[in-house]
Amino acid sequence: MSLSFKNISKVYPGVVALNKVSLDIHEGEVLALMGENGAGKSTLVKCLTGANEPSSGEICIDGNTYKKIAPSQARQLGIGAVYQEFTVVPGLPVVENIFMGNLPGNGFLVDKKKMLRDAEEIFRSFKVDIDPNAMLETLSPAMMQIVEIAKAMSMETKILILDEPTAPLTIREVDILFGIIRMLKARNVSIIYISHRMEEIFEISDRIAVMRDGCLVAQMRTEDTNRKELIKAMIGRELNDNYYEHHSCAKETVVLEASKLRGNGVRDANFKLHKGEILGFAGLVGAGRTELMSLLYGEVRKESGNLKVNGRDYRAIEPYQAIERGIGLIPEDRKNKGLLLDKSVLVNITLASLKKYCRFGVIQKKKEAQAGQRYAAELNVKTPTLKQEVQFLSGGNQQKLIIAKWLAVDADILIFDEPTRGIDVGARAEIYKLMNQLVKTGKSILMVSSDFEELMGMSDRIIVVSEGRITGEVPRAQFDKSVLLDMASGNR
Amino acid sequence: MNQTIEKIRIHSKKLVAQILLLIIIIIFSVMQPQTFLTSDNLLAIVRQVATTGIVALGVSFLMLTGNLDFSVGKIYAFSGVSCALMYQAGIPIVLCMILSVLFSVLLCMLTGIISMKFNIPMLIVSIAMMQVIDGLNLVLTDGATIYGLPEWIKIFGQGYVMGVPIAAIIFIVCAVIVAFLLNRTYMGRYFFAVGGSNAAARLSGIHVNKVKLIASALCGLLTGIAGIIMMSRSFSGSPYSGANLSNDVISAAVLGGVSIMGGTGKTSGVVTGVLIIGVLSTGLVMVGLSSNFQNMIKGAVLILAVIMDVRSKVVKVRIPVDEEGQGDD
Repeated sequence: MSLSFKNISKVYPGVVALNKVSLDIHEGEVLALMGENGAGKSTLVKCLTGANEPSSGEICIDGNTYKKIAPSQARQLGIGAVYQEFTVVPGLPVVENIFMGNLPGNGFLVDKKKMLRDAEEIFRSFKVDIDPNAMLETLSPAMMQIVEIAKAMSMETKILILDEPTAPLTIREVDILFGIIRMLKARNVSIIYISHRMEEIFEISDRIAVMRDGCLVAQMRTEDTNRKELIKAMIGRELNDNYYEHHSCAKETVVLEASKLRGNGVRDANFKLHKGEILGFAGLVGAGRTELMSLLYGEVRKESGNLKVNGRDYRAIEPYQAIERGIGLIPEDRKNKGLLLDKSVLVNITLASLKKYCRFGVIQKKKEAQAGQRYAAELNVKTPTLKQEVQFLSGGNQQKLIIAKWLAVDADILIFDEPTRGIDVGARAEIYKLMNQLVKTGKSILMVSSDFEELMGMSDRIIVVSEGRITGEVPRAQFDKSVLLDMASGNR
Repeated sequence: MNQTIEKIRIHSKKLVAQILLLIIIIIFSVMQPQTFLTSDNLLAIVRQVATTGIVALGVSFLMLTGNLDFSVGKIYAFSGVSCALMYQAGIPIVLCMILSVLFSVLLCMLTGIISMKFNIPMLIVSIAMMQVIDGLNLVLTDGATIYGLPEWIKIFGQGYVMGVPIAAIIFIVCAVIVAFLLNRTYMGRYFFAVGGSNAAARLSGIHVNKVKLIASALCGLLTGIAGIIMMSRSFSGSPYSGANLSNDVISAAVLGGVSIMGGTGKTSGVVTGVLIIGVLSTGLVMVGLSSNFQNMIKGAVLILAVIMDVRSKVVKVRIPVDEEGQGDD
């Protein structure tokens, strides 16, 4: 089925979110929709799913013209969407998740047998081995994502929207997903694919549409373009060639040492972090990297093993002890664990260092505001005022706030867990630059990332974790993606 | 032009409790023009809300940190009862008062500790505690009101300074102290942080359990003080006092903008919420509604307040989604 957007605009008071976007999607093609956060990708897609009403313009589907599409109408038209956030219910079996809201049967009793048969049929066509009776919560994130797609496909979907579907997945799992996408394509399903990951776009898409500031700025066939050109179209200017600028600042001094660290699924982890070093942690999702970081940080108590910070024993029982020792965590789950979303920029920046600006327990507002101003400026946080609630800032700016929080405490060891997930290209480069500045000033960084390119670009050394164990350690000179991947899947 | 309207809209949203209070006052003034807007009546309202208000301030600490305590009504009664009983047993009254307030602190902390230690929602623990303390009150007093307090003790509940009830003055002083604590001290900031996001607060180095325990202790402290004032006003220790108090204070706090989900709230809002409940109680009596009807209306008010609270949160979350992308990941 064919779909075209014709002069679609969406205007909010004071903001033009979409500006006369016209775009065609052909049957059985994978169209990558790219652009920075706030470019208008989601707004456009939401006009299709019914979550949004266009202010003007039309949507043509198979020759019929629509001014707007209601959510129920979208489903009838065969439009399905899978978002990065899961919409499945963990406590229910896989099969019930797939048919939720669309249970087969006679309107009173549910036809369980048919449901099970259909679910098995879908998984068979996907060539994945998922037990439809398994509880959803027992599945890995990748399998949950596949259940989401199965859910969308159970409704005769003709146009499938995938909004950052690979964010929670590792490279291997992405391959499974791509297999499914190719299969759907062969069945003439049209796919709108939104992602920040360049590699994926080049691998899976047929065509690329780039949006910036609510406008469609470029359309090209994937084979006719390259990474550099795409980035330029997305951010509207040429990006520095050395995206990952790297100068090693590592010294001999050991600032953090873990020996035989155990607990939280981590088994006998030994490693050393040097002053000024960026130490990368590679591995598949669920390999135990984040778990290892939470042991170091005292978020979860270790079962055994020793930790030393600057040569002194450190017990890591609660996060405040980590902070006292000069460790700061920039967590993977930035919104829930890193920020107070409905509080101001200032409150978030000074949260960990608040006592510094206090006298007899009373906050000296002026001193606090000065500190906030200073760190916001130092990190180039884009916010109208320090009073702005952080939920209204972009992902990149939110991330900078968390870093600002640790600068305010003057932390020496920073743990970056997936520092650029969900952050657009421009802000990403800024975060990398910041990390480089930090190590230059003698701070040390532990960096967990599922993006191998990013890890290889930024790290002085990479430690590979697989199934809770450290399976390898690679110095920068020997970085090689296939070697790292091999180690990550458990081969030494 | 549009911007001015927008500004008024935003401001009126912030002042929704104040506007509601005004509306209720106007309604009752129209219905009872001779009696409602008299200084006598208004002072009576203020005196009445003083005890409710002090407890509401205490409960708002808990609510800020994302907790709730339904047993405050019984602790309030316990404070008066234990004080009167200890005085009868021959302990000097000042010491009795101090001890009673201390007991109240400990009881509130006990609820908090059980909830934290065993990871049970505080609301549930507090409902159980409510029953335990109610039983305790009745056992201690044999179901009878305890009299025989020294005459001068009346001053807290019944005395006036320059025409202003002393109870109201105590309430105002408490409110000012609470406002200062919340807005100007790091502990106040920590209450908001813990209620806003437990995980983010903990990972930022805040001793979350300590903060929650302090909130419980402060709640107990204010409830204990209010209980003593109530004892002084009724010149007795009654195991039956504070029957609807838990509901009233939670309604007041929520009406005043303290979120049941934690993390947001203002002292001025709590004070306004308390006044709304106070005016409503008195006004409904004046227009001749029985206390049964009052309960129905107050219950409905609580539901309404919670709906308003939840809706305001939902709207907040929606904005960035609609403007697309800001902070999407």
